[in-house]
Amino acid sequence: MKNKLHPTDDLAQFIADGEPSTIAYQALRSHLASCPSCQVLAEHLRMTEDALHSMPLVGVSPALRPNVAMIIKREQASIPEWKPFPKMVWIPTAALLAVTVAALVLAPAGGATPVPISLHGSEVTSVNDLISELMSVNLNLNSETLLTIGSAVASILGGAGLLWSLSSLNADDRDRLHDMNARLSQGASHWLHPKRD
Amino acid sequence: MVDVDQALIARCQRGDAAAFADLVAITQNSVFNMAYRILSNREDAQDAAQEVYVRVWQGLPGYRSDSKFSTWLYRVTVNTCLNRKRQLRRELLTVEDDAILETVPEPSADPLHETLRNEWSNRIWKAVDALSDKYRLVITLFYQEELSYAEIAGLLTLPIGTVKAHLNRARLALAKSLSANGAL
Ligand SMILES: [Zn+2]
Repeated sequence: MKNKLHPTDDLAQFIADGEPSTIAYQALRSHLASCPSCQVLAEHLRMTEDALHSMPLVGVSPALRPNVAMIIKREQASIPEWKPFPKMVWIPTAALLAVTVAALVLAPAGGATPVPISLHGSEVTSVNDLISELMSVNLNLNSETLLTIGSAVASILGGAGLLWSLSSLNADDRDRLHDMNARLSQGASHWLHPKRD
Repeated sequence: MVDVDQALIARCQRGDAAAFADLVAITQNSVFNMAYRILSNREDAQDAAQEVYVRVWQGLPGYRSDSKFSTWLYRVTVNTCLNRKRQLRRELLTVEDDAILETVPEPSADPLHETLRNEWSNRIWKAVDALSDKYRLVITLFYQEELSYAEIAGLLTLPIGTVKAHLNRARLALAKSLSANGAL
């Protein structure tokens, strides 16, 4: 308090910390010696200081710990630990996708345009050119046929792998698939009906 | 606040609910009392303390041991309580003039203070409850939690001078409550 007559702020700081905040220690001492009102205030500040240092704690509600434990337990139950999709499923799926993408990328722009064979020494322009080169055999195939055969083989292998994976899922894997399905449905419904929640 | 063992914190960070129950047991006195002093109501203090621990549980994976755990817990507690008393954030920025001391808090009867050390202490403790929110907050942090001026300033993002000014206002208001009640 910036009291014009009494340095009360300095007095409060002095009683708490042993030194005044703005005025000199000697100036405060001499004011205190001659001011009965500040002497009373100083005594009350000392009593206040003692009482504050021994302020009792209020008793913690006994319900706090069990309530917190219950909330934490509920939190743990509502957020299932995320585990990656079973390897047995994602490996063949990824292989199938990779083969399909590679086939599409490598397919010649013309698609159905027949490509002549016997290309030793000439420019290689499509997938079957490359295979012909590598095998050093003359194949009477065009790029479309080769792409169809390749995709069919990849699909059969990938599909068989996927079927085998799904047939050998255990209960834990099934839970994860179920969880993923639930998350996807929840996400889709939230996206379609954003105001429902 | 009691120091919390780093090993216990590490167990909590790994999602060990039993370790977290221990952490709550160790720190609940400080957290609950701080919330009680700021919110001045047992039910609100319990709600706030629960919210503090849920936030701590959720925040633990991101907690780094380069800062003191107690400092972090104080910050979560103070912020949780300030969110419930939004006007208090603004009030903390203002240093009142002398007029505040004319409105000496009128102590109210409080059944929680059963263990009285003596009559004057009891009057002062009751007067603390009757102080305005920001003074109760700084008094609690300084005297009950025994934080330094600098720690309180950091926690409340206030200049140290403002913290000291708030504390002096509170001390003077409490001392004047003794005069008003006829002490000495
Ligand atoms: Zn004086």
